[in-house]
Amino acid sequence: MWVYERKLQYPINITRPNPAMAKFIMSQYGGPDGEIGASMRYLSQRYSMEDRKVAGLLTDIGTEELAHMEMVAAIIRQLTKGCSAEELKESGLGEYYIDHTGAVWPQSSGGIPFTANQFQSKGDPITDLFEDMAAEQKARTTYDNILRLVKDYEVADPIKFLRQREINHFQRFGEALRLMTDKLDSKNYYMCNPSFDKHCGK
Amino acid sequence: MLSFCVVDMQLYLDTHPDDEEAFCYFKEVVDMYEKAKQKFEENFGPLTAASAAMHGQWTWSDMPLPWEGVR
Repeated sequence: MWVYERKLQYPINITRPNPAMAKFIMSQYGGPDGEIGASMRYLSQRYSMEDRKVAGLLTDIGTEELAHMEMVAAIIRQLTKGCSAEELKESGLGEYYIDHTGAVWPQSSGGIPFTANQFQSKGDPITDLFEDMAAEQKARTTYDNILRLVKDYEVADPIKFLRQREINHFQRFGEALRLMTDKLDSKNYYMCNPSFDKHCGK
Repeated sequence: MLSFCVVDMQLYLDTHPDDEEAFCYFKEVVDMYEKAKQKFEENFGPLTAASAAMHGQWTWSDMPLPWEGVR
């Protein structure tokens, strides 16, 4: 279960609104490689992950991603709070404003709504862990793309923190993959699926 | 900051459960975090809802939401 701590994992204090920037950063909230997708992916995969250490890691990283989701939403809100309809329209958020006013809603920068199609929970530990490593790299690249367009320190600073965390998570998933393969038949990792077949793995 | 150290070490220990040095550091950071949290909560209000019990009245609802920022 979850306990909520009423603070951000890293401080965010944006003094100047900039809805155009918010539009770009939105993809890390509800976009294909964003934090909501990351969290749901790991929290979904953990149930069929028979190895307790890896299930624990998925739980812990999935939980941290919820904290990141909150940070991205905070950035979006602080960049758009107080803007008029005209300002939102000029920044490229006109259509978004029509449906969501000044609210935060999970979609990509391009307007594609968040969907479970953005992630897989495949029920095979090797498959799932490769998916997770790819997810962290995709998120890192998205942050790289954001940082090319966002130069304001107040915004770039928390974004850089989030980007660094993706690299760290990638490292952890790589280690988890090694833990898994160490338990499987080294002559053929794909002999069976430890999450589904009986008597699979040591 | 300290809660972040705890999380970072937690993830590391998830994949390196036998690393004694790391676990030692984890214990240090957890201790610092718990003391800092206690002190913060006594002076400024609860960070987790259960901590509202340390005050004379229900203070949870008045705590700022973390996304409020400075504006």
